[in-house]
Amino acid sequence: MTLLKVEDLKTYFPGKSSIFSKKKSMVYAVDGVSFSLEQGKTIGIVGESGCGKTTVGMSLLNLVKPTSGNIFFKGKNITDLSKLSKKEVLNIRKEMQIIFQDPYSSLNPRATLKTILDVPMKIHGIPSDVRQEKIEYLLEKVGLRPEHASRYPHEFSGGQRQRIGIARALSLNPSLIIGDEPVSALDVSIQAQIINLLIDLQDEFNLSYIIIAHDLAVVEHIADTIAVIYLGKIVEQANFSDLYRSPQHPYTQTLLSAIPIPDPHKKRDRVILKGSVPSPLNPPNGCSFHPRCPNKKKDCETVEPDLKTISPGHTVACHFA
Amino acid sequence: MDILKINHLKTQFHGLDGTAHAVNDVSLTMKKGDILGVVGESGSGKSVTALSVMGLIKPPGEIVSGEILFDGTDLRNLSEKEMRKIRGNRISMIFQEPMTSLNPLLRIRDQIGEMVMEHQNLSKKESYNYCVEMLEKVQIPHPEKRAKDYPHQMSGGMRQRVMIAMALSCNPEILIADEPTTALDVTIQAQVIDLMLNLKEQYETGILMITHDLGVIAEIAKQVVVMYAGQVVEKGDVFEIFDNPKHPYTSSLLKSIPKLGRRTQSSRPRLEEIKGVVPDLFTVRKYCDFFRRCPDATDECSKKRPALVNINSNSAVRCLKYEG
Repeated sequence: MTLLKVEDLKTYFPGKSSIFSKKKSMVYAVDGVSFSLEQGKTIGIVGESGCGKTTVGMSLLNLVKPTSGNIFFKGKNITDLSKLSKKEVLNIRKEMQIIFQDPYSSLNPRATLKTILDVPMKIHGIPSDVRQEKIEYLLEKVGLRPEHASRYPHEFSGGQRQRIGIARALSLNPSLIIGDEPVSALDVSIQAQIINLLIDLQDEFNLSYIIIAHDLAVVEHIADTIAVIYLGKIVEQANFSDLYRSPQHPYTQTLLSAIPIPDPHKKRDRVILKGSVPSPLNPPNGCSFHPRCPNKKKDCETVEPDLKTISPGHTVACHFA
Repeated sequence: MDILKINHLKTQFHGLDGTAHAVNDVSLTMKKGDILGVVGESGSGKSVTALSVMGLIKPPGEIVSGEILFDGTDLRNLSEKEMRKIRGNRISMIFQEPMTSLNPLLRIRDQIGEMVMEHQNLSKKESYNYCVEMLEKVQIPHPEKRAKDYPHQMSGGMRQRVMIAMALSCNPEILIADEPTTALDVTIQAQVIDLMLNLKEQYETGILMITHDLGVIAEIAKQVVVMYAGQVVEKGDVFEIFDNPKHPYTSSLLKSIPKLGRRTQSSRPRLEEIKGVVPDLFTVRKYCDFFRRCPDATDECSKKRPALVNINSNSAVRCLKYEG
């Protein structure tokens, strides 16, 4: 069953411009992203900082308003929540939850763990005795002890806080969880614990995940399909093994070759990209990757490549793929 | 020749909650022109070791004991004035966060110029030319123009290049790089690592590479030191550490990271996690610091603190399995 379908999602922010200037500049944070997600599956969104991957997540949850495009959740168009009734909005919020990147700033420092987990359920009208039971159940699920419920966030380590964030996301039995860099703020030895926890919970509750991350190794480990995003556009999308074995877009290829492999025997010849990501305020004409592309041709500077399917489930936006 | 030799260094921080033993008896050796990788999680004492070498430990921190021999002289015996002649000149450092470690109020040419005017007695004009030359070496486009920029006008990768240019401007014998690429994107990280390796070849600078990224270590280091809770738990050459890790911490750490291309079509293998959390640094335990998280822990481990045992001339491990 298709749980989420995103069509040509665009989110622009007004850019900085002089108050005397008539021309309005725009930051093209997300510029035409489409994908769909099945129930129980995981899609990974990878890209460098500033490529718009977090904005995709925020737009899906309507935490920032999409400029255009359509988001269908369980067949219902949820692009503009203001068009829906309050009850419908509440229902959708319940179904879609988020785990934030920074476990330090995403928990209220003045609320105990019990309150943090209790409030979302209270808002959604779950009776108090059920809530109490659920809190204990959730704590156990994410590997915390029941006596932790009366503690405040500062009493926990980073990994434990991320577990609290996961428990909070789970508390309303969502069908979709968006993880915005869920492990990048954690220590190496803690990352594996959280990745395993996410996978276990997915298997148990048939959850769908959207994992937004810059670490391709982490994404490859947990995602079924991976979308590589560059300057607000998906440049390549494929299942995890195709993306790793036969990356077609030159950006995916360089991204893969740039990752240092923890094996001293493999010192690879890597493709080193020149320059950095151009500003989304003023994206280049034609293919947005052409200023950095190692195999750029003349056409790339003027003609924007369409996303084309090269094998089932594998799409690429490059003239030469 | 050993350019840097740290013997039994202990650095502590005195706070209201007691004393944090941030670096607790660390010894390491670095050869001239070599790359020594220091790996560890946050709180393992790797950055404090670097700051101790630079003489940048300020109260409430204190170097309690140990020697830091640079080219034969103990840096701890030098006066602040003598230390200033070495810092930035013969030993320099690249910090993790390029935004906060550059002065936002000074143009790039003034920041790099200040260093060479101080250490190499160049005039202001000469220092500007030198700055442009350095920026060119670290592959910053339009160096004449960029030299006049302020840090906020540059991207993260570019600022880290400026930091490298600044650190290398006096041809130091040792470059301490504290997580130089952690704040950067992978494609920029690849550029910066490549640049550091090229410059090392050119100037024969020894690099002390501090990072938590095992991939970066595998890529560039020759010798590796693994730190845990303020102590060295294992050292050896890079092939030995990765192929045949001896300390349970090193081997579990290597197993716990997802590796690209490892996953098979059908299954998602569970990562081997290290249970529990990093121990606090305030208590001095009578047992092994890794005991509570160790997959191979025995009864004996709860009773005795292991010592660093030499396996051969350049590798050592701190684990009871290898004692006696």
